[in-house]
Amino acid sequence: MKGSLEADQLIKNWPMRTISVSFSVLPGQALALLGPSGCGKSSVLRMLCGLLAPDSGRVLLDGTDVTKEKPYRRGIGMVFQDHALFPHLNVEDNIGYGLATLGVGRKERRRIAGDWLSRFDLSGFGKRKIESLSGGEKQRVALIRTLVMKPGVILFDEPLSSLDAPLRRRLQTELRSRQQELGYTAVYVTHDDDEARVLADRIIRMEQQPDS
Amino acid sequence: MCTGPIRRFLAGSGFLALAAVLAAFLVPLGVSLVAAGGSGIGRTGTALAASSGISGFFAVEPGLLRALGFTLLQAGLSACAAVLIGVPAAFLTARRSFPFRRILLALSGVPLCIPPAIIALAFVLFYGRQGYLNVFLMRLFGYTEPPVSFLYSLSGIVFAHGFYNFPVVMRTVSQAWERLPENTAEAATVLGASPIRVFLTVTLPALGSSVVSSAILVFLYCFFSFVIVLLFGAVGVTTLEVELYQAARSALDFARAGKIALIESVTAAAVVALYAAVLRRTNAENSGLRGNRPRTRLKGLSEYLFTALFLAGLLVFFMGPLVSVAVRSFSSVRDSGAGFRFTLEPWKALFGRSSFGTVLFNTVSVGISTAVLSTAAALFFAVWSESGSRSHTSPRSSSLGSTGSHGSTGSLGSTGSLGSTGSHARTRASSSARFRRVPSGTLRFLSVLPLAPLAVSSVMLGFGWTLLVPSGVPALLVLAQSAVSWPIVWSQIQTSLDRVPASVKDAAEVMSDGRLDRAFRVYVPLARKGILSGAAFSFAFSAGDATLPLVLSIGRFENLALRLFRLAGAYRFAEACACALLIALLCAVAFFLQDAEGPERSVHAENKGALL
Repeated sequence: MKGSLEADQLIKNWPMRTISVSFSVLPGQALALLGPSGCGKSSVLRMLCGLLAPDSGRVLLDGTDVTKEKPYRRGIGMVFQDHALFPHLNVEDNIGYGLATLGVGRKERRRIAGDWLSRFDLSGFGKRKIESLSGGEKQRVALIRTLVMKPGVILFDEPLSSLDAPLRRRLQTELRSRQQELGYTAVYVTHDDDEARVLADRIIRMEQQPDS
Repeated sequence: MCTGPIRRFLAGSGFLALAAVLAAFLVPLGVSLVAAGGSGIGRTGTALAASSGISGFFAVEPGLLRALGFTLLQAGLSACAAVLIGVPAAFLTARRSFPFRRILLALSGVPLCIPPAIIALAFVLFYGRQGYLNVFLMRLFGYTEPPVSFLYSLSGIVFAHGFYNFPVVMRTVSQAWERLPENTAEAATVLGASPIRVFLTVTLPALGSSVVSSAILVFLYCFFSFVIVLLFGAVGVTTLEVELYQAARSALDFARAGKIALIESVTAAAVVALYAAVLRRTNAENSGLRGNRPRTRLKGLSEYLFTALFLAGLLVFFMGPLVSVAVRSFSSVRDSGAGFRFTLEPWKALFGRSSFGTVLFNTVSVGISTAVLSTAAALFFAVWSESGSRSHTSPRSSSLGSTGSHGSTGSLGSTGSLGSTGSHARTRASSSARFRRVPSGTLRFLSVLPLAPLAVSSVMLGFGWTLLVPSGVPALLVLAQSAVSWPIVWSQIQTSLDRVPASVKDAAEVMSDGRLDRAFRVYVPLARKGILSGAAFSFAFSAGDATLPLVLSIGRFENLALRLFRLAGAYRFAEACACALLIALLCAVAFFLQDAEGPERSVHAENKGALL
């Protein structure tokens, strides 16, 4: 089974702080990185998916070193905080954005988007504008946009932080069941203990050193 | 603190000032449009002969259509040129840290502070046949003929307009770019988009409205451009604005002038309507921008190379002409671009004329009067609409509305103030849709007022006045300049007021004894920086305005801008440069005085002083 991820002594230095992490996730496992604001959780995700270059250390995907690979060549997807949906594109075009990069034709992109939307109870949403979606719908579209690329690993950067408490609880359960159903490896970043317990099989607590 | 009767007197004076500037705009506008029907009032007060009725009114001569076509063409190309230079500059100032970034940002003040007459002079000195660039190239390569000869053509007009206005685009787009959230671009990157695809499919659409709104503003400015077209326009090729001036001042054909004014205004009004719509969209989009990304250093050789070439280009093509003005003002009146020998001769010649003291006095006195009148009108309008709009909304909606307003202030204020910057057309700034939270029909109508001057040129306004008052007086110039410049002052004041959090305004509403008390104890102190800055802009506009003094044709009246224009027209370039430098110095003093007030104090500090 594919989808094992390892952060091997990843280190990133800034003038006032240093991030240093090592962990691994098994295929199909869900891991939560828990820690206070500003401890560097999001930076770890950005190093894993290639948006931030570490000063030292390696990122291994299924045993292969992908540290020097460009983000989209790593086979790692990411769901961003506040969803990061493209406001000028409709739902369908948002979902198909990455597929277009792969050279998938427009018709096929629409078909794929339609399939995934119906799996996520969003049938008929393809032509909707992003601004017309509710928080939960945006969250699902962001997840679909990542899933259609068939990544082995999906990173979630505080995926539910912008939602209200009842919706957050409902989507925590949904995210968990989707992950188990589809079998992708997930790494969540959150500062909420309860959320981490619902979403993940394993929790790693990041701590801030007093002198950092 | 002023007492009740003094407050009422000041508020009454503000109301009168607003009424005066509105009348100074609406009355000549009406008169010039009436003249379009061929029944205007002649210079001697007699009615003009009626033209050939309705059919004659609608029959537009081919020459006029050509002028309209050329006006649209040069304005459109100029806007494109400004965008082509402004967007890369916006990228650099918003996203990268590099030496000279602050200097590049400071250039955004150029369209604001330097009158078009100086820009035209600068371009002649640098790019003219005997200009510094040609002389340099001829010496370097041994040319016998000047190699740069595009200035007196459409290319020259577009080039001057493009370089003069790119800071408008740069500033507006840069402010949106700075706040663009990083995550959408990162999401595109993770999904496999190349940097170019990320720019074209994510970044550019997000910046689209900012680019378009600033481009429309530049288009409007160039549509009404007068001095630059008058100097650089080729023989037989003119814009509507120049045609209007020639019909009204040279040919004394008021029916034709009225017709031109009508065509010009209808076209500009359509563009202004488009601008207002785009601006509303820009504000709505930018109000959601929460990003505050740190700027990064230049990445890779290609970025270093691009930045170096871009800055070198700006240094030569943009700063070169401006530096030429300063250099030439210290060279001999007999020197051409071929040589430089330091001398104070031009300054002595400028100061030595017997009328110089009067010209300087005229500039300063009219400038101060214009600043006072336009600031009084703008302050009254801003405070009145602010407190009026709040009293028309429920506390909850008011608070929500104000929060939204506050959020979008950056883009609104900046677009507005930049848009309103500079001389004539641009001074009638982009007064934005600040009243979006106001449900009242009256206030909706009022919101159009600051936008209206955008659709009318200085020449047209002056033309309307000359039909009414054939022999102008300085007081008329003050009125006309205030009618043109009050929207920019209002824009500055409103930007200050928009920065005040809704909670502070709510507190003022709860703790103040009525609107007047609230206005004097809270709004006016909080808007102090905007008031001073607006007054400085208004003074700078007046000091650098040669158009209205030229069109109004006030007997034995001359200000420094008009003298500059005449000196340049008489090919006394060295003296004209000294005059230009003197105007720039006066404007710098005005801006220094308002700046000496210090930066805008924090709202909390202001609040403490205002309410206690």
